[in-house]
Amino acid sequence: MNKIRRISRLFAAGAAVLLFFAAVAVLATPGAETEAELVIYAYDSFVAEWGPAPLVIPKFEKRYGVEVKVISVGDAGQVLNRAILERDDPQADIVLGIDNNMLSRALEEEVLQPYRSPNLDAIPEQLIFDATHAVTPFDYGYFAFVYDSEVLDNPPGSLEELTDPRFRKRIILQDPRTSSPGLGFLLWTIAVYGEDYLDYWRRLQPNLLTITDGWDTAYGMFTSGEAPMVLSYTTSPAYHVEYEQTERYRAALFEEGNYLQIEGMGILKGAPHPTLARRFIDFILTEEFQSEIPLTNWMYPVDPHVVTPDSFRFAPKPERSLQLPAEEIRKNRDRWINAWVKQVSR
Amino acid sequence: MGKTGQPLELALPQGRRTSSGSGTLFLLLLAPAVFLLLFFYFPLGSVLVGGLTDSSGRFTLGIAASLLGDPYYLRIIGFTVWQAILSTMLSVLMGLPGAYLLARYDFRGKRLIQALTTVPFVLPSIIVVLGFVRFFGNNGILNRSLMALFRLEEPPLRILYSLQAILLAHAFYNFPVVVRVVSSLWRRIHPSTEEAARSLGAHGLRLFFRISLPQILPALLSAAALVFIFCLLSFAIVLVLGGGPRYTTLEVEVYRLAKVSLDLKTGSALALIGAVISLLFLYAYIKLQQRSSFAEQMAEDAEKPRLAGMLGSVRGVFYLLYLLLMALVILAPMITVIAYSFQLRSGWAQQAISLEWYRRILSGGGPYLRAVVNSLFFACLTMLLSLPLGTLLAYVGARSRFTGSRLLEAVMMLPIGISSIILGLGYLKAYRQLPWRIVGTWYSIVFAHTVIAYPFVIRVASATFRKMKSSLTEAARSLGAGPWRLFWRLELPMARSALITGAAFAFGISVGEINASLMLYNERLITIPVMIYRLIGSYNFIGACAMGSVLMLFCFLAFLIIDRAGGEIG
Repeated sequence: MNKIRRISRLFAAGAAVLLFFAAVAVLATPGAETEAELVIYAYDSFVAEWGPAPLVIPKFEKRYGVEVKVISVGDAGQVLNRAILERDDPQADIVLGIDNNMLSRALEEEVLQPYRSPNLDAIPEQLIFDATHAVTPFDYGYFAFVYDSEVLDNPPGSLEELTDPRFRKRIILQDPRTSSPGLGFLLWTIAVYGEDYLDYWRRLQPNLLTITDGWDTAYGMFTSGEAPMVLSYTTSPAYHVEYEQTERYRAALFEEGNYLQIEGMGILKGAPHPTLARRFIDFILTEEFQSEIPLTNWMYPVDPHVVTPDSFRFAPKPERSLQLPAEEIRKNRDRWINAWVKQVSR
Repeated sequence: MGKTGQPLELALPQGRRTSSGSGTLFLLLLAPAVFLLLFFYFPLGSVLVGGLTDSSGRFTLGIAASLLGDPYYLRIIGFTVWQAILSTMLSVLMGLPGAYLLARYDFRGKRLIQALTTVPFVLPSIIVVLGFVRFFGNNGILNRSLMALFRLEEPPLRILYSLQAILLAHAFYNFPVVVRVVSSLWRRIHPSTEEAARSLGAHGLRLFFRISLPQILPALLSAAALVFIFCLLSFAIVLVLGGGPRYTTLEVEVYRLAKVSLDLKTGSALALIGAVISLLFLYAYIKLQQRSSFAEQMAEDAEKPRLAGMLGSVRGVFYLLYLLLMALVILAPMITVIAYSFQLRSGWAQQAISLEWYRRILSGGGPYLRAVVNSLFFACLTMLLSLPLGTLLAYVGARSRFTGSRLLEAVMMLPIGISSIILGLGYLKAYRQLPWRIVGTWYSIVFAHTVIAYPFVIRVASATFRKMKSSLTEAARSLGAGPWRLFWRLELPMARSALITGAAFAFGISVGEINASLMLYNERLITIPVMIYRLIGSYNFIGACAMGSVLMLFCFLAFLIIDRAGGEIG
């Protein structure tokens, strides 16, 4: 019966370990975290080790002698979600990562308070996407089709050309139901074709290899060589130049123009530290912050005076940029997506 | 291994009755009940209530009903259930021979194979997708080799972007569940009945359908229930490998509503519908399991014939073919991921091999090593917590006979049937109302993982508890053993291999979990899957694959240790 004793001993040991951990947990929790003076909710890649946060946050902390806590709450959609969930009792001062396609939702929920930073004067008018100044822009980019130049020597030059039979099963897209570039591309087709967008999708469909849930899967499949073209950003090729020393991946600019994405941040209503939060909004528009954006967030800084790194030669800016009004997106988004699902499910 | 070939003999010493049975039982159940209330039903309820109330807070079934009246959602629900049924059938078909081999034969490296087959279970879906694409894809290893071999211009095998690709990936994930859950019961069933039947002339399929299948059916149903639920909740695999929105599951729409449209009301109504569907199927499985369980003599691990001796025969060739095929499906995508992790650049630049990412991961101090340590810590605690919790609930479920006890058992299983996106949102929403902070603490992650993992232990353990012959327990009781003693000295030791399996999977669920972790973690509490997600989000696919390889290695080692530790107790 040695065996039985050993089992009981194992269980007893397990129970003891648990009790110990439970005790530690209860005792250690309240004092475990130092009181941060400014709390920011951000999407995950902003907070990551190679993201902007580790470079820009210490600068702000040093300048004002305060402690800033940046909390990753998942992807960009989650940031706004969190703000809405905590509406009655905000745990953060700032939410970071609200883009032009999400703006109307943020305004509708009334979770932000307006603040117009004096530093906005240096920012081009067309990038200030929220006239009420609840959201202040900090970077922007364009959706684009990135292609493998070792496979495609004749890349498409327009949305229309994407439907050419020579690209049969050679494009990977993302689903607008679950991904922001996916939604961006759907809006792009609507900006170009208006209510005829479904007809465009019908013609595009034979050229799609698959539609993924998120950008990450799509891009991973693209670099694995599964298809020579993927929906991404104009800045994607710069990453491969900067970190992999290869120029094989290129972004295609389209005749009709490329769809614009502007990212911003806003101060929460009922933020515990509104004054410091305003200082932070001022800070994101300074060169100290803006100059770190290209190589950490892979977007263009909103401040036109900031010099972008050399690898950004491979991140071309389109001559024409496209955008739909926030209000129109809010009113029609679900209808557009539902009709889209019907079309591509055929 | 102690005695061999003998049915477990009873040698319980005389003892006084220690407790009065049901009263103690209720006290015992109090702790798990409070735990589940606090860490599952309360957070879940706080989200789901949104799907059941209108804008003025009154109860309504209107939102759920309007979803059920929409042909779009009906089609999605239909497809979700349909692909889950097909995937379950395929996983069972692929897993049964493996379960038989593990239960009835001995061979060199058996433990290694057993640990290895459990590894796919822990992998984040994005790693699996990348592995599949790089191996089975149009430009994958398989097609490239065939094209080079036969000088073809076009890839000959169009495996991906179809329904069969979805089923293949689901089988990759879930066939180990079938292998392990079924073999853990099978090895305990005394081969005497099979031998008797064989001596009476029953062979092959006839022997299987008449004798073996009824014996292992409770475990088979347990495994099928688990696989079914996992496939019901499948998301990225279905969308990406199916080739787009043609194949959409319920979870995609829950994600869209809850995370993108930020429409929590409709999102939770849809999640509620999903939960009811899982509940219905779980109830059916448990009912069937209860009906098909007949108690019988259970054995210690008997001495088994060696597989090596069989390899010359026709049957041996079949076994070998089976093992090769499984290696192709299970190992190939994993090895592809590992191979990718040594590359220097994206693409197929094989000339540049690099250990760069491993250097970064292992050069301590960084967040990578912290993620590894955290993941292992959470997984060990989750295992230690869910094992007693699940065992207790399974035991009570298998022994109690009151009306509605099957339904209660199904409700206990609900945590794996509920979308972890919804559960994660529930944690955020519910715990804001509490006086102390739970979100962002390490124990909140352990508790969330435990909630998701313990149903596994229940399912695996209940199959074994239901098979135990009551004459054995009655004999023990007549010798004066109280229920407490009976449980510790007789029933628990007999369920050993089931509990080892449950522990391994509880560990696996914790290590692979991402949705709830993403809601609850903070920088210090980062886990391997969150790290992988973060790497992939910033172009670092090779780093993600290196992290994925580390995940595989540690899980493989952990499964070996769990098996060994479990084996040594006996």
